[in-house]
Amino acid sequence: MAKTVLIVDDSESIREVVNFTLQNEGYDVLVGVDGEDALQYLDGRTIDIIITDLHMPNLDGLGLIRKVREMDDYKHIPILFLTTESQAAKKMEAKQAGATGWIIKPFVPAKLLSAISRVLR
Amino acid sequence: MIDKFKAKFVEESLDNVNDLEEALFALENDMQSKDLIERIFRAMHSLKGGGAMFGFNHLSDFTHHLENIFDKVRNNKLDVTPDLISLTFSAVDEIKSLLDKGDLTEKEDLDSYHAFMGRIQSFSETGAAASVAESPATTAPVADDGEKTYLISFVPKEELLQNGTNPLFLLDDLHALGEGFSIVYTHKVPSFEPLEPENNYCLWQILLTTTESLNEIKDVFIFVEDECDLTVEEVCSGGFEVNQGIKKLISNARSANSLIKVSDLKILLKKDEPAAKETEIKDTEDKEQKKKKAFKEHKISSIRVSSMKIDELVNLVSELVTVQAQLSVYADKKGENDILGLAENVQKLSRQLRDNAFEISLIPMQSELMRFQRLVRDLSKELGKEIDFVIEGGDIELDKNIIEHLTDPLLHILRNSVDHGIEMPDERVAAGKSPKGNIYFKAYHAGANVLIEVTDDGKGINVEDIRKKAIAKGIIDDTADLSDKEILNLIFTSGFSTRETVSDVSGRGVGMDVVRKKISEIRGEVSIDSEAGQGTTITLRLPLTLSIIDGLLVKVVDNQYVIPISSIEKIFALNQGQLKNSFNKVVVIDNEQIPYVDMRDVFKEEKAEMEVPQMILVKHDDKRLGLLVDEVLGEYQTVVKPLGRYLKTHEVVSGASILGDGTISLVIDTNRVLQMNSSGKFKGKKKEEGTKREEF
Repeated sequence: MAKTVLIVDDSESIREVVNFTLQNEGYDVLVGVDGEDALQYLDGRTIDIIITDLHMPNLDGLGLIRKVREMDDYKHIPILFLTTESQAAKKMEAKQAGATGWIIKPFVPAKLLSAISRVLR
Repeated sequence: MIDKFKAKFVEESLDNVNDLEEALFALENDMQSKDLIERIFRAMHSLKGGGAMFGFNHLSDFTHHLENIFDKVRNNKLDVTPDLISLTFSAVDEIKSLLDKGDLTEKEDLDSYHAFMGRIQSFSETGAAASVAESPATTAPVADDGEKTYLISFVPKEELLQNGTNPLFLLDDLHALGEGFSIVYTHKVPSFEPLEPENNYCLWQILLTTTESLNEIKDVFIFVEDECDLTVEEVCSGGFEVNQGIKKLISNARSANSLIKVSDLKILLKKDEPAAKETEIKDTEDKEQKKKKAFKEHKISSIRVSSMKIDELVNLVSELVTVQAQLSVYADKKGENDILGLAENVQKLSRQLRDNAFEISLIPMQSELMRFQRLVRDLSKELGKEIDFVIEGGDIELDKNIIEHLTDPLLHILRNSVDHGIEMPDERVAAGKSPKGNIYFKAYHAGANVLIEVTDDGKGINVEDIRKKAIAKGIIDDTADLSDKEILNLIFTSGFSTRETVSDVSGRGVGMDVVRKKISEIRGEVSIDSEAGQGTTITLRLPLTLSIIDGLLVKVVDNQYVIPISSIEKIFALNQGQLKNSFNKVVVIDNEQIPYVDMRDVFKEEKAEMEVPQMILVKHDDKRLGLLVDEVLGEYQTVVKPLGRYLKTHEVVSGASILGDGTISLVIDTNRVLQMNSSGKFKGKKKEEGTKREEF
């Protein structure tokens, strides 16, 4: 069965690239525009992995990660976040919040896919 | 495939830049606001991340350095100063141009780009010098041209295997980055009895020669960082050879149950260059991370649709309205209750649909307002004036085409207000005003129109000056008896400029006459009000949309035409005598000589004697012209549709409209009729329709 990926980013262009890449690879993709928006998908359905941006309005990536880690149904799913290398401190913070790993922006599709398959394998 | 998303990125980034600019304006007034700084930082962050993804490398680099500055601001290591804001404003301009041009190739562009980069970097550094604490070294992605050799020491903890990580995969990943040599240490593997099969007891060192950056190497281990001790040390630039010396080093290390040291390696692989610096890549924790706050920013509640799709929708809806009208006619004829009821419902729905579709095609002025704010800010700084610019009604929505046509005239009006209207601070004080001038920009609805007022409390316009100037320029007679209002309106006449010397600011070869022309092109009107010493108000009256017009339906022989009501001044019923006695196509009405054209000539219709010829008096600028038609049918609100390819070059019609009964009527472009008449195109017996459009 196809794995379901929830992507969360406030940038439409990034969302589209990630969406396009993942769908091409046969993943089922859910899309959230910010943390708040993403939470509505966590309603009991099966989600295999979450990929989230950190800087977002309303509920940012860190907040989302913390919330997910508190949910009984979802606290074990892997969460990757998108970040740039100048954000060393943010990475640690996200890790402490419960993120599984990160993907450095900019990424090429291959890198994104390998990061996901590494977590899902 | 990235190209597919590039356009979207640019569009989105322009929004980001707008947001950035908006936040900067706000920051200028409230330099302590954490929210605003956070907003600015985030906009830059998106630009940087997206820029790198979509191949805007210069943009990405540029915003990276800006972001660093604001990261320091965010962490209280740098203060917000007017200098910083000015620098960022000009940076915003650079970002816009980078978005426009993509990666730079012209030498000129590159030079100015690098100069600007230098400014930002030095600002970032001097700012940091003045700051309290040393900021954590940001690991800037340094693109290394040459190869370097690193010693990677990977010491996993025993529980590494338990989260499913296979360390050999990581080694594979490392080897994919370049030329590698792995050394495995097994001295920690216990004897069989205490050995836990689920634990890992091995450690590795890898010598890797690669062109990739440190970060790239670090990335390989991102998922196991907590489960291992990792150091990456630079050994030397260039590659290495596994020679006897290294082999000896390895066997020595193994027998001593320790790892090889980078210092020993360096001696072995010593090159001519000075010792390379060691780099630790363990992340240092930054305790001063500020907690983000809830932003009061808009949740994304809108979608972006290409304007072509909207145009298509509006087009289809107006077609639907036409068909619906035909249905109503048919239902009336049949008189069956079922059909009548249906037709009524369809009518109701299609009206709602039409209103909705038109509403969708309107956009708020917001994005243009930013340019106005920038203009006032930059210009007042340049001129040494202090000005408060207040905007009201920025959320008023207008047709996209109108907004596009509106920007230049409004910029000109504002430029005038700042340059000519508002006085220097000392002049203002002398006149008993506060040293700070005010410019109000106000937009609001008035019926089917939108009014935009630009008001300043500057020195106003001296009516007598205008009169004298107009006389000197030969625009009016010195005996002309004009009201103040009429005199003020003279500034819209072409060739009028109140200043002797054309200043650098407002003198761009454009006068208020051009403003009026541009506004009338979108069927708007402009008027002026001014009181010497008190200030000036310029008012624009604009239609909500260009695709619906209030028209007068007229008949020329058997065809119906629409004349936009906004351009009509009066309608006269003439008698044959008046026409017969007219000379050179001029009739005298109310003691005024009015030139006229017979629309039958224009449309090359058969000429029969009209019973009661109707003359529609239209005006544009200061020119007036009577259009002779057979019959006036009445007022009519109509949807203007573009003409097809064949009629596009026709000069006197600007569009077409479908009437309720399905017949098509052409919309007459009165401005062009006027223009063609004054250039003598209708005069000769042989009329030829030119295909070249004259530019305004």
